[in-house]
Amino acid sequence: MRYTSVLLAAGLQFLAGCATAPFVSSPVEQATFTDRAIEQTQGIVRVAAAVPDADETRSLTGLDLYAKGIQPVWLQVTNLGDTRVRAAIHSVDDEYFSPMEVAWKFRRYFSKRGRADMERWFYENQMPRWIDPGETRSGFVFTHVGKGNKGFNFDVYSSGQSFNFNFFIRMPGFYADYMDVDFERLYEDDEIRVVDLDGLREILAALPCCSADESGNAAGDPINVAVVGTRVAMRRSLLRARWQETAANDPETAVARSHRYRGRPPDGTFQKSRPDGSERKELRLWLSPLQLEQTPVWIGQVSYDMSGATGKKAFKKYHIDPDIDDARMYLLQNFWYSQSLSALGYVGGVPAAKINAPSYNFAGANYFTDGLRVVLFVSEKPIAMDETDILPWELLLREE
Amino acid sequence: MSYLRVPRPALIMGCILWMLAAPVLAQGATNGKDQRVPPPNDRLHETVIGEVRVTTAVPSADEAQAIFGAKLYQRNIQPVWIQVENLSDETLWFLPLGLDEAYFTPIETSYRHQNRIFILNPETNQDIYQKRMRLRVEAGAVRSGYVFSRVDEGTKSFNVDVLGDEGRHYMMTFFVPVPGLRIDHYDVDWENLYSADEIRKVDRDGLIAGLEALPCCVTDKAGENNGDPLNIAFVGRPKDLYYALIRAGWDETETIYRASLFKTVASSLMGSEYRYSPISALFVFGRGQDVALQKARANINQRNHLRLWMTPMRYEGVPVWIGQISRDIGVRLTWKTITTHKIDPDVDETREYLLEDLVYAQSVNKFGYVKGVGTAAYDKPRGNLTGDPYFTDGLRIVLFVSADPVDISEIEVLNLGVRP
Repeated sequence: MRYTSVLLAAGLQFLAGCATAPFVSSPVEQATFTDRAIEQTQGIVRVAAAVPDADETRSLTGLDLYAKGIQPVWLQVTNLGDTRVRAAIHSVDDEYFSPMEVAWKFRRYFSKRGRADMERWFYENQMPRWIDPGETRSGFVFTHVGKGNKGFNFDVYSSGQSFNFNFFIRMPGFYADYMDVDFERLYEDDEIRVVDLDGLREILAALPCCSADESGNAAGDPINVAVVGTRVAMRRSLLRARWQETAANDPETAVARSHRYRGRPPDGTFQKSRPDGSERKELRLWLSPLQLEQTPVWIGQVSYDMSGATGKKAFKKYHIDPDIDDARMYLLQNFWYSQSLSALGYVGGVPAAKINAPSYNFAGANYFTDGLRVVLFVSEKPIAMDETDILPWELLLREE
Repeated sequence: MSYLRVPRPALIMGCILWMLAAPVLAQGATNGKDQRVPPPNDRLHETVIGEVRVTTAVPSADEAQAIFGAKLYQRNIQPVWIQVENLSDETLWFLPLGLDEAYFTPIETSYRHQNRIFILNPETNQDIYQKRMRLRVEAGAVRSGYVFSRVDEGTKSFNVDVLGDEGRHYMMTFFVPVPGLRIDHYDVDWENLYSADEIRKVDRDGLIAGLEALPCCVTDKAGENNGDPLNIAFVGRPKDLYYALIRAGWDETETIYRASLFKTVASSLMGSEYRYSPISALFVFGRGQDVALQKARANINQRNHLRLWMTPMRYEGVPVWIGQISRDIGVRLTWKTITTHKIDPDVDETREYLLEDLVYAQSVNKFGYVKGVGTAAYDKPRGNLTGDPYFTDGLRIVLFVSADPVDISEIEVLNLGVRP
């Protein structure tokens, strides 16, 4: 069966290789996907963004870009100011495909003339990098197809200023776990606790050590992360740091959903895979009833899943790296290097456990820890690494 | 200037004495906040910035096996020994992510070694865990240990980032040759590359005129045929330039897992010579590039290549560089070299990519454009030495490299007379 399809695919490739078809595209102005464009304005810059799905991309270009792992993102930038601005294509996807690279991947499908027409189409329809005052310019950035909805950052800058957009575009057929959560109604008004910085430090250290199981009786993984940030800052930070959202009821997050805080599974579970292996980091986040002045406080768990297993197997084969502090340390650096961190601090709250006398969670997985929680203050605007404040909270080294 | 310190006799002696004492220290007889792990060998490299001294060493495959009892290199794991001496009066943070963004955790290292038969707390776990480098280095403390990085085939080039509060930062680059692997970092004597009377101090106008007067393109060895356009210029000290490029993921070498398949194919086709010089020499000022770097992308065929030459120009005392960048978009067959990479003909796009790549590495504080390449229209492309066409607006980008991190809202866009 498998061989048949390989042969079939090879045959199709061969046919495609001999193709002499002309390149037929339809004008972007007539496409309907731009009707769904989301518009945002910051300072002197207005941006509209839309993402054609696989079918819409095919009717636009006649090519199956999605099948090659390429997802076009359409952007339109209007410069409302009086200085020239620059679009940073790299901010949308740091490994974006260049227009000519996309064309190269489809070179065999066309006649010589057809290929030249195709190359020109991709060249002319790329998002331009410079936008003069008063001008509106639009085009595509060719990104990698990701799992789920299309969330991306888009930075536009000029001398001494930047405008940092964040788009979140729903893709048909995907439903992320946190979209099920009504964050506005998670807590009653009288449950919300507004605290100052000292209060935050105190309360975070006094939170339960760990998540619980469904019954609420047995302890799960330690709560080793707190994030202070608006939902926008949270989302931007996760995108900058390249975390992937997960679908509601994804078999891959079955283990994550077995961990409860205040009786509920994580409001959002995010994953980040190694570039050279099946291991992945997992970040589980819950909105807490705490607020630092106006800003929401999230609590969470970060761990390193080394089994690469999914579904039922995940429970059986589930191996987290027992050196759970290492995952916490990774998350801190991950946010720091991706310019998201305005401040950081540590509080206690988890019973320390040594490598030769580890703690166990309700599923029997073991871990050891210095007992600290990292507190990350995330920013909507990018922050250079040397601007991060290090709060003089818990700097005692407990690891020895 | 010598930011790359080679081992000196005194240092080696110190090391030997220290290695004698080290087993005692490693077994828990730590002095207060110190936490030391002995170095793997006496090939120590040291850099001092302010009150922070960082010493590093990289064990060879055999040395790593002797230390950890495991063939870590075969699992694509290369331990790097780091020691941070914090002589300042504040807690400092060493960030292993700056050394390798996909570093391995200590236990994962032992897990890979055990071929995924997972056992908690075997001796190897304990041992590897105890030898790890920690994040925090307290005031007055000395800490050493291993970071488990991905294997580099040749000289191990890496950054070490140490951060303190209130914006204090100590950022360093190391080039550590590892025995048994090929050597691909050529330690150019930047100070003596040009004699004193060749050096030209330039002001802003002199910089623009000087850059515009440089040749349009690289040439072949004979200097007869023009190749790729020289559309990149840097103003930066060698150490800052290296730091920035390594931070952005540029490397003189490739990790084994990325390159091995390609190498197997390439070496069977072309013999070992190809394997040892994956980036061919192109010429400016009658000499091959001073620095050759590549950046691998998701697919092994997809790499970007960057070649740089130091010019005799000095702007505000800082060296000016000229360079060429190309983006591979595939592999094609040619009669001349059997296979060669297909280069993106839109060289301006590749140029702008480099700017953004370094902007997000927080390394650019100013940029602008000058002429010098000469335009080539989309419909009338020019060709490089391997017959790849390219078209361009004819501009060179001039990137000013910062020693301090710069976020995107702090960048100054210069008007150097022309713009794309």
